[in-house]
Amino acid sequence: MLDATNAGTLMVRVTWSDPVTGQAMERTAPLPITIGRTAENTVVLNSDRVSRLHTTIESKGFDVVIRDHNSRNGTYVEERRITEEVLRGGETIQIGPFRLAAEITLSAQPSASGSMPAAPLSSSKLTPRLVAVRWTHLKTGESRALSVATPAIIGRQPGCTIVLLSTQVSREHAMIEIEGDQVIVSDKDSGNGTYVNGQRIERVVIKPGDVMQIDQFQLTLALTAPDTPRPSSANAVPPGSRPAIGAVLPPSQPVVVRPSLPTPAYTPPPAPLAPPPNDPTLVFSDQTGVLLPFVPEKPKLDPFPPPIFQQPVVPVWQLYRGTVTVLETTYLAIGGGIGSFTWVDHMLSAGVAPEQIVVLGLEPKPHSRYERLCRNSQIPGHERLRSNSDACPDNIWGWPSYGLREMWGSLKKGQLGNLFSVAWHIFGEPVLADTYTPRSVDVFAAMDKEAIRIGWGRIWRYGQAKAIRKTDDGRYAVAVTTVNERREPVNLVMLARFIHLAIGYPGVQFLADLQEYRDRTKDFKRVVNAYEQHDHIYDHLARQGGIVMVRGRGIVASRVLQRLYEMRRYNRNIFILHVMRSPLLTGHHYGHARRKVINHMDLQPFNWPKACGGGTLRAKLEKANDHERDRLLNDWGGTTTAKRADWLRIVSDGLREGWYQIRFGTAKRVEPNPYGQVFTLMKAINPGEPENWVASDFIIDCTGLEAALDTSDLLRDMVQHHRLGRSPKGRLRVRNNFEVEGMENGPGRMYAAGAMTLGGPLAMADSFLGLQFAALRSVEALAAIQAPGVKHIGPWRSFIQWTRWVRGVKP
Amino acid sequence: MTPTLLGRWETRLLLFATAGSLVTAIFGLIFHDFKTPFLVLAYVLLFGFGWDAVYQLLITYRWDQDWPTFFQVLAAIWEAAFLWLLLRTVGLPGLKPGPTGGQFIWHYTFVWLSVFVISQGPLRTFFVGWRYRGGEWL
Repeated sequence: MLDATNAGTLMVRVTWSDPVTGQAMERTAPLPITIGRTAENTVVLNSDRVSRLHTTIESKGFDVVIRDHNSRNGTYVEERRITEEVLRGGETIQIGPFRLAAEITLSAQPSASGSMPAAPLSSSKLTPRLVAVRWTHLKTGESRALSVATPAIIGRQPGCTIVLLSTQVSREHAMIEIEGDQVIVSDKDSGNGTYVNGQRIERVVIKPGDVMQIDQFQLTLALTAPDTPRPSSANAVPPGSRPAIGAVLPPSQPVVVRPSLPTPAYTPPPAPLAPPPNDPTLVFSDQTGVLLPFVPEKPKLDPFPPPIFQQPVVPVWQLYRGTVTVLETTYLAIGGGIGSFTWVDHMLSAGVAPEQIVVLGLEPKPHSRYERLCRNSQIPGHERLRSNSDACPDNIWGWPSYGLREMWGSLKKGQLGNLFSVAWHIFGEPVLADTYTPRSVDVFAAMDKEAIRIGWGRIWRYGQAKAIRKTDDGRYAVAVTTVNERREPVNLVMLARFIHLAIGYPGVQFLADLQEYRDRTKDFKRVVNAYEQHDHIYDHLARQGGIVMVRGRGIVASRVLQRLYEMRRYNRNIFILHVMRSPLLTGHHYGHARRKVINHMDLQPFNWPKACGGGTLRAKLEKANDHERDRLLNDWGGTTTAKRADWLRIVSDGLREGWYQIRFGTAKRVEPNPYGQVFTLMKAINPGEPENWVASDFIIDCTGLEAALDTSDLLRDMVQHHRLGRSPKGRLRVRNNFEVEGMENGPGRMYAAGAMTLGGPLAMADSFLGLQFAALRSVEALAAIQAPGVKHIGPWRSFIQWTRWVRGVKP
Repeated sequence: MTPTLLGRWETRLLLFATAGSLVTAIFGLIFHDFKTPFLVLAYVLLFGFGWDAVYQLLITYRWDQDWPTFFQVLAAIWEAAFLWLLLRTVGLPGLKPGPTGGQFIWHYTFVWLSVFVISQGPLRTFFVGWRYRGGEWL
């Protein structure tokens, strides 16, 4: 029997994901907890659609109840608006744009008053004694020492007390604590284990002389006397009685009790998934830029970048005295994709000579990676992109727009039908007709033409930036791996006064259960990501038919559904199971407006409301502070697809004829079955329903691209080394002119564009329009500080440059 | 189009002062009367500033906060009808006889077409940031 007064404290663990970035959030606290928009709540949800105090979860007799506090937009449990409701654990709770899950657990000891942070590391108020930690890399011999307060976390993730950079180290790998006079080390369910004196351990007391090992790092620990013994603060918790859920505790002292067979008021919370051995991401190859089906083993601590890069600021004279080749340029664009391309296009139009710019990239065509991702995610050349008519990476004015150019092309070819169709879409969008979007093949051809006009081939160089540092003479040093004339890899350092960073998405996101399945079975054929090459699935289906499970409901899911629909012309025995976490009946709303939802999918022409690109919403976001930006992005964002008559018809036909079904619930695990298929263990949304195995021939993950800053080695290293802040969405922190905050270095400036600037001044950061906007802003900023060769693009210069574009002569 | 209120006003002012005035001057030459067409132009501009505020309010009811081309056409018809009604009922200072129906329709149509066409693209070749700033060019 659960008794909240004697046996312990009821704890609730609330999990949710950021509606824009999809980042998983978690908070554990003793009951009662409050959920609302303002900072004093236990769970803070930043959105205008969340009231200041929105909901509470509290215990009432033997029950745990969730109560709505007369919130404006309501609290929904399993899609029903509630005022007060008993929680059994595992339900889906909807508050504004946030979808939360609450899990109820019991801690055996009474907790300290107040709420407990989910990550107890930084704010823990234990008696401050320090542990001296020294670690050495066994291969490189590199060694460091640090005295740390406990509890200290060792891991790969930047927030850890001791960061060990290796893919073999888990995000949070091990924990160091002090109990009495003893140093205790415990493994945090790491993938590759923590070893003490050669033995894999879970939790041990460290004795003098013990040697600990994690991956290739050898660590020694010793308790030090605190320099100045500070009295513990009034509300400090005595050591040993910290009941935070998720913290590692001695096995003999089972503090966290999951009510597995308690009163019928509770159902067992779902067993946590085993942590995937790798990040749930696919990454692009360092050498070729091609998407790899697995995370490659990285060579441990590459001797390049040179050791001089470990200094806070690189002294240039020392760099020149070293052995590594040094090249200089005024402007360096890192990335080499569409973001770099539009920036260079703007720079040249502003008067900069091409000799002053170097672009580093892996593929000579700026649209190579984008085009590959488009093709894989079922946008062949004749299909249309989800992009505005006047978002033209090949033309800084956005005019003539792709729509006009397509009309002109149709007129020349005598295709009057298409001419009128495009004209009607442009005139009637989005009221009378679907929104016009350009054909991908036309966009790429236009970029190729522009690349020739601006001499891209002479500006672009094959190379991958490995690390960026400020120098002592107001420039930046960039460690670059490139190739020489004999195509052998060589390392060099490039010095530049101004840098533009546009590296795009560092990888492709993979759902954790699917990544786990692939790591375990090495089956890259049946379970795929929509951004991978997966034509074998369509070939197989056309010949033999089968069941395809589609996961995710964004634009990529729509493309995949369209392709599957097309395959049904060849084979009627193709069936689609579309898995969605829960039904979606109403869309986000903002102000007086509400986003449309059809067939449980959010619909809008582009990734963000149109006015985010150049209207009222863009202006509003630019003026907002961090907190407001976070809230606005949550309200405007989320996974959406475009409203296209053909896509709507496919789904409604499929639902009516039965070959397309929507299945609500959460996938927990994927297993191969003896018939050459895959089984997915599905947890239904209703707590009473049993879990069941669902068979399919293929699973296509359509959830999207991975945009976490830390997935990029380059950015993670730069942010750590120069102690840069992050945007409210965890990306690079940029000013309104897209200058990277904290990277200014005397006259040197660094600018960024693209997905890595989300949370900054522009919501549509990763769109063609967003890249053009960011480019214009940074070039205007360079003109304002009179950077070499950069002139203000005033009306006259703009018009003259436009006539040059029309004539096809260089800027 | 995704305009801001200031952007609407600035663009309206700029285009009426340039293309709109040019078309109006041609009309003045044809009919040997500059006062009437320029007064009509001034009233369209003046009332337009008011209408712009109304359109910006309507925009907040749209999820995308945009102003589709189709709406621009509807707004142009509405503004013309409203002005013509005022001229024919209460009358406007300085326009007591006022233009004839034919003169008004032709003048208004040409002014609007020139303004519309230029705002759809050519304007951007001079103001590279115009489209991001909801029509603000100053």
